[in-house]
Amino acid sequence: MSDNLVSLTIDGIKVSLEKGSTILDAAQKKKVYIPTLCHYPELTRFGACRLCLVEVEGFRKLVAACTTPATEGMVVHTVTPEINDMRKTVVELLLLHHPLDCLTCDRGGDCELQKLAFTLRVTGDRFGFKTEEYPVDDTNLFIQRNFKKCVLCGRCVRVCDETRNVGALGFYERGFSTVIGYPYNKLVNCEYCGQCLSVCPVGALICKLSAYEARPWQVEKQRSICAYCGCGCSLYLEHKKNNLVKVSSEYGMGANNGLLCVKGRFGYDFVGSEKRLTSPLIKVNNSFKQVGWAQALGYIADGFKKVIENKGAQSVAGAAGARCTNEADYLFQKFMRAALGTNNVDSSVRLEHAPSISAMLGALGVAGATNSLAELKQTDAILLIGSNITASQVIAGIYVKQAVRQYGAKLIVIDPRSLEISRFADVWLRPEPGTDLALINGLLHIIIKEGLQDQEFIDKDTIGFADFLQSIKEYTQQQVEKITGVPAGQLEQAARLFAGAKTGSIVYGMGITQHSQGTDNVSALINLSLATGKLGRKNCGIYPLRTTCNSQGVADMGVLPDYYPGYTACDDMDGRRHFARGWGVDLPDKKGLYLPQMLEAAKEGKLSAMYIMGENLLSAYPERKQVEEALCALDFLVVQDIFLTETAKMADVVLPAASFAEESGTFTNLERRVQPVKAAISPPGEAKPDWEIIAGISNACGFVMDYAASREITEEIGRLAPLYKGINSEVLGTDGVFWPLDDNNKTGKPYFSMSDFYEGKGRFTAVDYQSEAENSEYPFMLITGGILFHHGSGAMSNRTKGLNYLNATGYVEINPEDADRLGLVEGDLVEVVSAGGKIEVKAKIADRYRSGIVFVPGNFIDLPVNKVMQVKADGASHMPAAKLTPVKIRKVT
Amino acid sequence: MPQTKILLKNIGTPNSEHIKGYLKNGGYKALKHALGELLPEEIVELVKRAGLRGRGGAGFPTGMKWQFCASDPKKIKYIICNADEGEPGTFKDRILLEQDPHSLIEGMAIAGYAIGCTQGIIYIRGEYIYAARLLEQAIEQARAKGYLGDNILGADFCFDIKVFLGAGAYICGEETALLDSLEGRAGRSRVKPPFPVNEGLWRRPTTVNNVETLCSIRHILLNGDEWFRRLGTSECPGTKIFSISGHVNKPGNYELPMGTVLRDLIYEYAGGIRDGNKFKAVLPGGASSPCLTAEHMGVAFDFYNLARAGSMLGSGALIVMDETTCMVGAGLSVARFFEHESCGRCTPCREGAGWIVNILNRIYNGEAKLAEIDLIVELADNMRASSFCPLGMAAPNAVVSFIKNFRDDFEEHIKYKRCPARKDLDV
Ligand SMILES: Cc1cc2nc3c(=O)[nH]c(=O)nc-3n(C[C@H](O)[C@H](O)[C@H](O)COP(=O)(O)O)c2cc1C
Ligand code: SF4
Ligand code: SF4
Ligand code: SF4
Ligand code: SF4
Ligand code: FES
Repeated sequence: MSDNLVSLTIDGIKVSLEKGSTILDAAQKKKVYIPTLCHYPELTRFGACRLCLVEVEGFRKLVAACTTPATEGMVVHTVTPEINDMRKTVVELLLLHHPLDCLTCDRGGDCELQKLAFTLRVTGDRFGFKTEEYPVDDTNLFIQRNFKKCVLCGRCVRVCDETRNVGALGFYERGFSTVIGYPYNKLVNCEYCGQCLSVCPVGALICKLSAYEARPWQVEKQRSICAYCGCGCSLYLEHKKNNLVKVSSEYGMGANNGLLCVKGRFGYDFVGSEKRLTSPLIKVNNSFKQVGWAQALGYIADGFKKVIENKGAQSVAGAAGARCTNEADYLFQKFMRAALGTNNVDSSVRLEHAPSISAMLGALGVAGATNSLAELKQTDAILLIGSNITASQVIAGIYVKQAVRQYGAKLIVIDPRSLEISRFADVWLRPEPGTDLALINGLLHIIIKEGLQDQEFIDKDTIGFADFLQSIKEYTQQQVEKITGVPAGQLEQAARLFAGAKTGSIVYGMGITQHSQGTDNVSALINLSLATGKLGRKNCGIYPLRTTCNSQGVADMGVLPDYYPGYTACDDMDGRRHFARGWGVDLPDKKGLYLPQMLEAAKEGKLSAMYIMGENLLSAYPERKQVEEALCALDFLVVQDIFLTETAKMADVVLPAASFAEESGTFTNLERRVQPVKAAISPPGEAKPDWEIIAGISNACGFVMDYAASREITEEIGRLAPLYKGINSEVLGTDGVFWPLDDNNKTGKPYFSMSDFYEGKGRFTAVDYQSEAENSEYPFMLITGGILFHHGSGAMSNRTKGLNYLNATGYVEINPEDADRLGLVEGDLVEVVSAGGKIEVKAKIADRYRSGIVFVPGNFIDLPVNKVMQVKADGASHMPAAKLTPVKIRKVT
Repeated sequence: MPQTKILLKNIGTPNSEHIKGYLKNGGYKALKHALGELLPEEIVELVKRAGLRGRGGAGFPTGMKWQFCASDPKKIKYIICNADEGEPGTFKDRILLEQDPHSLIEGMAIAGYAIGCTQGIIYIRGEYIYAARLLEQAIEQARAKGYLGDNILGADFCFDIKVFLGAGAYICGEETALLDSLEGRAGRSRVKPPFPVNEGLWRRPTTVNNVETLCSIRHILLNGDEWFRRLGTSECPGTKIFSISGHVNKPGNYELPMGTVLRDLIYEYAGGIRDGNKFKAVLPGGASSPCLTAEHMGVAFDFYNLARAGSMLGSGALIVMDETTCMVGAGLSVARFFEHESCGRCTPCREGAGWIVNILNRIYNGEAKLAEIDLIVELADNMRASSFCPLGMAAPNAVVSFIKNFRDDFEEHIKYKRCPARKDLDV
């Protein structure tokens, strides 16, 4: 028997399992039932309810199975009259406090206490006591707490503390008066994730959004994927009579291990919004007229045909958002390329991670996180840069926090802002906004100077080291301190920490990419991975944090003007032939227009028709004026969406699409995991899944697309797109797979080995920091970004009741010093003015930023911060970068 | 017969709380001896051979505990003195803390050396603020003289002590709850294993010892294990400070060899029962212990003999009750204590302790049904068998022993709405 196994006997059944396991683990392994209540997987052993007591031969007393380690040779009995009596009494004692109103309790039928009372046949009450009433706590917007029903199992407290690392809950009072509550009865730091709700065994915590909507046995549960951020959380869509009534999750499932954030759990009701588009609309005399599908499709086909006949195929273009399925995205680009004959197709990835794609393809030959999210937990050192991760990619953020608090990882945070995650950092560097490149080069300089690089790895697995060495020569600590404002000592500390760790990963967000040197920034980060040998193995990787559920997929599907699906370059002859053969048409050989070029071309009259799918470009694009002017200049605009967005309002034809809950297909999350999305309900009115609409238009245009179900498109992708080879609904199962698969690997690659990169090597790229001139007329630097309670440009999240309760409008965040100087107090109306435009917004005073920096969230439809933002293109990736805009602030009187 | 004053020898001597007085009485000789002449493992062996058992209540062999802690490979370790003295009826640690603090400091330094740790912590109950101040002064004096700090007495040994005030919870005397409290959380017992000797404070190996235990150390070092074994019984060597309270003529602390019998404790030392009344019962080890009655006068007080008599020595706190005591009332006050002190973590203790008070209240007032007397016993059996920590297991001990030995008191409250013991009581 191996050293790390123990074997024991439970109720006569032999079990052997890992040392350190509990008796309960052993029992569960053999499906021996031991009742539990306070136990919950992965939370610390608590041993409080005492339901799981068992007898161990040779022990003086009964022991709790959930806390007692299984040891060699143990003989355990789980059912004896004494034990039964004990368990029954425990349930009786719990019921003494508990109002027996199962008939009207939202958890009735799905309650662990109810089940226990039933199983143990607790009848009547032997004690006949009554306890006092206790008021229900309603402070939390989503969660009602009924103290009388609470069995004090502590699961909510532990999950909030140990899993979420929030710690909003605690035990208060003691003894008989013990209650669960918030510190000082205030919701100090609750993030409204609802995880406590999901672990509560009884009806003590009730979700207010879904209470009394349905009995547990009336709902059907469809497993699917969250439609918000790139983490791609698995969830259950619970529905009754074609209505979503609740979103839930289960321990152990998906990339998220059963965790969800506030958006995923409580932000679903936009699906049932009355404002959903329910029928195709055609604009006649400046107002929309409802039409049938046949008419709409014919109208569109005519519209495109007319433009192409007059001005050629290069005068049409398509742009897709990142929220549609891979299947829709694939068909979208196929339609543009094969049916209309243009490579003018791009997606909103251009606005977030185009620099990641160009830098990663250049250096490694793949574009996507190199490692899985779960690995973050096991990583020794994490360098997080340019991301408010705990707001924008919550689950990734939780894994980083867990790595630090539960697994002892070191965390380096690089961000000028004071973020929630900063508290968890061992080193927090606060560079001047926009100076990241100098900082990263500075770290590399120190690493080389101190000989901390992994030379063996560099020699064996990389190319271009010598040139790279030249390029960082001038980034001495003094120089970098001068540019970034980060003290040399801190730089050294960070460099040593990262280089010295056994395993390390780099995690970055749009703070890095949305910059005129975005591609260079990413290249520098890759250099850092390569120089320290932290790539190409488990727990060593680089993670671009994708913002939307299918940001990764939409690029993978080739909704890019320069790449066919699977990053096959348009100017690659073999690649083009491959798709030409697959689609049965000739394909254009010139690469198409990038999104910013499309807008330019439209303004210049070179582009006359556009097809926009699933994106409110007007809000999402960093410079609103650009989009307004471009779309106005078009002859023909088709917009396909779930709401009549501002962009849709400008269209000639509007097509009603299905939401994520009504559409099947796949999403690819930020860790390259292709996951099945399954329709739970049917779309409202005449709305249809995106892929069906595209196929309809294509057929009307004379290019036949004949698919009976999205499954068939998945299969075509699996046949034609290199990285998705072999993927089909069967292979996907419920948990999905990490692309790419190969013959001996059917579940994919959670992490890349060096051999998975282009020619098995990583390429250093020499990159140089360029400073931007200061502008005294506009003394403030405007930063935009996301907040926890909303997503993207707000198209979905702004239309949910719950999330709007929490935060319904935008604001401009100003440092107290600056506020003083400008004579501002909280709530004052101010004007934020740039050379490009202005907005009026209320001031919020907070010291997350240093003096001279202001922040406006980009998540609100009614606060178009992109009216102010100014774009500067990142040369390599054509990213219209606008993370930073010089502005001035004026009080409105 | 005089007491056997070893631990209490310095008490009452001039300046006993000051290092000057302490040195005059031979203080810090044991530490000098330890650092100069003994290896850490020799000290552990010595304490093992002496057979010293913890005086905090559980009676665990001290030498063994030290050995477990010393042999854990983790580097940073802690020695903690448990000065929470929360067991009702116990007031022995206080006199040591207030009048002989250097004994404790010396004991801790020796323990630190034996175990291999550099940081000692004294966790003292918040009510002992006076003693805590004194301790801090004493620690300062010891530092000034080089008995604490770096390279103590020129040896390659650094050790220092911090004092931490508790916030008034009985459970924080339980060693794992004490650790949680030290870490800044509300004190609640931890899951065991891991035991503190392997994963204690901040998950480092930690030894927790009672004040009296640690004060004994220097005497063992100076006089040897054989000397120590000659005191007390063969199973439990040494002396013990008994805190005797209740209906006796001379309540107080008495240091006597382990194994002194109940009769001597009450009549020889504590001056007999007040007002010439008859003895009714005694809680021999504080509120957590089942009572003894007149038939137990010959029971020798040590860990083993009391266990054999169906009770426990605990911290050695005798609470004596005479014939005028209403056992329902006495039970109620013990039960209220535990209801108040239950930490609330586990079901049986949290709920059980509460409901026992509820039932006892109604019995006291003559409102309960007779059957409810047995309900208490049933509930108690459950608490003892299934509680998470020793507090809940011990909580119903006294009450159940009262019911078993004095059932009439309980039944008369219910049947006749009167108390047989307290004729004055009209319920
Ligand atoms: C509820 C409870 C309260 C306790 N209170 C004390 C106390 O106040 N002082 C003490 O020394 N030990 C107390 N103990 C015992 C400690 O847990 C621990 O066993 C003791 O401090 C170990 O020291 P020793 O080995 O020197 O006796 C208590 C135990 C329990 C279960
Ligand atoms: S909603 Fe989330 S953050 Fe708030 S208390 Fe529950 S688990 Fe904690
Ligand atoms: S609220 Fe629910 S999860 Fe939290 S302690 Fe009470 S019963 Fe347990
Ligand atoms: S928004 Fe992101 S983190 Fe939140 S539930 Fe959805 S996928 Fe998960
Ligand atoms: S027995 Fe349970 S409730 Fe009582 S003090 Fe111990 S852990 Fe707390
Ligand atoms: S499940 Fe083991 S004590 Fe609660």
